[in-house]
Amino acid sequence: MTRSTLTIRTSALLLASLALGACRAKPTPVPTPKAPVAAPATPDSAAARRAAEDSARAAQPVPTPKAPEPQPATPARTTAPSAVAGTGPVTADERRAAEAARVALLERIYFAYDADEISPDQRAVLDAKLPIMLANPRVRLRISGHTDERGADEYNLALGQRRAASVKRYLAARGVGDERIETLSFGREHPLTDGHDEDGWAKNRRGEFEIISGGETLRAPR
Amino acid sequence: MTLRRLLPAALLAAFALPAMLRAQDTTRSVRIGLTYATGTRPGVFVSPVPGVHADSIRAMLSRDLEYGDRVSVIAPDGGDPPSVTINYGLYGQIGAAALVQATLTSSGTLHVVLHDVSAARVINVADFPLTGTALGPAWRLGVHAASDEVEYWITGQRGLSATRILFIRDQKMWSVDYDGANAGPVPGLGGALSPAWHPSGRYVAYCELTSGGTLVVIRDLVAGTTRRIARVGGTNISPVFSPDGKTLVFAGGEDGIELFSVSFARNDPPVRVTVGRGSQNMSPSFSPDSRRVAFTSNRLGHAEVYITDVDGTNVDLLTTTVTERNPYRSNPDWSHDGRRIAYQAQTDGGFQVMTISLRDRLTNQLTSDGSNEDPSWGPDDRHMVFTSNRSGENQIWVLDTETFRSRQLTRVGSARMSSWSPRLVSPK
Repeated sequence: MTRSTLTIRTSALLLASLALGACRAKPTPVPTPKAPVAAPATPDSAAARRAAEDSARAAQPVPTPKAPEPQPATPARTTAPSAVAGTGPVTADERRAAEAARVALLERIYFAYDADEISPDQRAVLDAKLPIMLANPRVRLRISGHTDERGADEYNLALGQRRAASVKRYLAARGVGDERIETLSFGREHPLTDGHDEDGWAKNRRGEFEIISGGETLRAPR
Repeated sequence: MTLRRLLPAALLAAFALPAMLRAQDTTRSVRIGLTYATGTRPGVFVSPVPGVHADSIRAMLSRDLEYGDRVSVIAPDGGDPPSVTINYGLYGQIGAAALVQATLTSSGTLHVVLHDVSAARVINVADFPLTGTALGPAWRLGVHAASDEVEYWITGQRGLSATRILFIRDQKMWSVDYDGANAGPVPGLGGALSPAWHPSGRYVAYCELTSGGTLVVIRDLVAGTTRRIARVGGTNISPVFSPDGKTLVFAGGEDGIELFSVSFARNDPPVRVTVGRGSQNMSPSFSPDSRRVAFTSNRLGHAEVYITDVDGTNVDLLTTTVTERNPYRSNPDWSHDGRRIAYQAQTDGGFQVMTISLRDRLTNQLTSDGSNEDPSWGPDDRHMVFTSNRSGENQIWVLDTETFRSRQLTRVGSARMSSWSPRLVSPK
C-alpha cells in the first residue's frame, strides 16, 4: 500500500453521496403490514387515531359464514360448551379470534435506516396490539430490536435496544404498563434475511415480539 | 571508480545478491544498540539452529523479526551453523549488522547470542525457557519471547510477537497467535461478542450473547471460570478494562445506552459515566492513565468519537464534523502511549481506519483497500489489527502504521471484533 492510494477519488465520492442521498430520501420500503391500514397513515394524530380504531376493529373476531353456530345471536364468548367435542369451554370462533390476536401481537414492526422512530406507516402495527394488551392484562411481551448489517456492530447492538425501547414507549404511553414489557437487542446478530441490498436491509431493521407470559389464556378483545 | 570496476559488482547485485545489497544500503550508518534510528532497518542474519526443531525455531525467529518491521532479515534460508570462530567480515559483506545465534540446550531452554557484526563481538546473551510440548502454544510463545528480546537488543524497541489476538467468528470467541498460528475457539464459552483483554493478559471481558439478550462477563483464561458483572436493565455491551486493571467500563441501558463503570475486584453496582439523554453511547477505550475514556456517541444525531473523564466530567467531541460528508465515526482505540486514537470512519461504500492525534487533532487515513473497521492497537503502538473485507469476506488483518505493510492474520471466514493482547511473557 502506498500513500498515493490513500488519495480520495472525488468523482467516486460524489457518486456515492448522490446514491446515499437518494437512498435516504426514499420512503423505507417495508413489507406490507398484515394488519390492514384503512386510511393512508399520516403523522396527523386524528388520522393516526382513526387508523388505530380501524386496526382495533380489524383485530376483532369476524364471524365466518362457515362457522357452525346454532344461534348467531349468541355472543361468541359464551362459556357454553361448543358444538365440537373436546375443545373445552372455548368456542371455535373464540379460538380463531384468540389466534388472530396472537398473530397481531407477534407482528413485526420495521424501521428506517439508523432510526428508532416509529414511522407513521408502522403505527398501525402497534395500534393493533393495544386493545389486545389492554384486554389481556396478564400478557407480558418481550420486544427485541434488530438492525441491518451496516455500521459498527456495537453501535447496532445499542441501536437495536433503542428501537425496542421506542416500541415500549409507544405502547406504555397508550396504557400498557411498563412492567409488562421487556426490551432487549440483538443488533445485527440475528438477521431475518441474508440479503445484502436495501430490500434485505429493510427486512432486518425490525422489532420482534414474543409473549413471555399469559399467552395460554389469551383472548381477543371484545 | 571506473565503469570497468563497477560492472562486475553491478552484475552481481542484479543477479545474485539484490536483497543483501538493499539491506546493506540501509545499514551503513547503523551501529547496533547505539545509533539505531527510526526509518532505517538494520540487516540481521539468523543463523541456522542445530538440533531438533531447528528449522522451526529459525523460521520463527526470522519471521518474528520480519513482522516487527524494524529490521531486515537477510537470507533466511540456507547457510550452516557458525563454527566456534565467527567470520564477522563475511556477515558484514552480506549486509548483516547483527547476527543471531540460537541453540536448544539440554535443559530445554533456548540459548540466544546476539553479535554486533561491525564491532566483531557478542553484545547480548540470554536463555529463554520453552515450556509444554515442542511446537505447542506455550513453546511457541517462549520462542516469540526470545524474538521480542532480540528485537529490543537491536533496536531498543521490544517486539510484539509474544502476543495473541482474540476475535469473534460466528458469535464465538476465537484466539490466534500474532503470527496466525493456533487459531481456534476459546473453549467453554457460549455466544460472545466484543472481547477485551485485561492488562494482565489473564482475563478477558466480553459481551455474552444469549437468547435473553446481552450480558457483560469476565473470563479467567487460566482458571477457566466465568463471572458475570453487575448489569443494568436492557442491553449490556462493549466492555473494556482500564490500563491499570482496576476498572471495567461498559455500555448498557434500556431507554438510551450509557457508559457505566464497575470495579474489577468488587462486584459493586455499576456507576453511570455518561449523560446521553436517550442517545446511545458505547465502544469505550481508556487513556493510558486510566482517567479518561474515548467512546462513540450519536448524541448529535450521528456517530462521533468523544472523550470524557471516567467520572463523567469534561466531555469533549474529538472527531469534528464540519465540512465532512458521511458523518459516522466510531470504535475508538486509544494507543498505549496516549498520543493517538484509532477509529473507523465512513467513506464511500464502507469504512476506513483512521487515526487522530491527541495533540493537534490531525487525522490520518491508514487503509483504503476494501472496507476496514474496528482497529485495535498492538502493544508496540505501531501495529494494529482490524477487520477488513479486502479478501472478499471479513478477516482480521495486521497493519504496520509506519510502512503501511499489511498481512492477513486469519483465514477462517467471517472474523471480526479483534482485540490485541498485551505482551503475554514478561520481559527479562
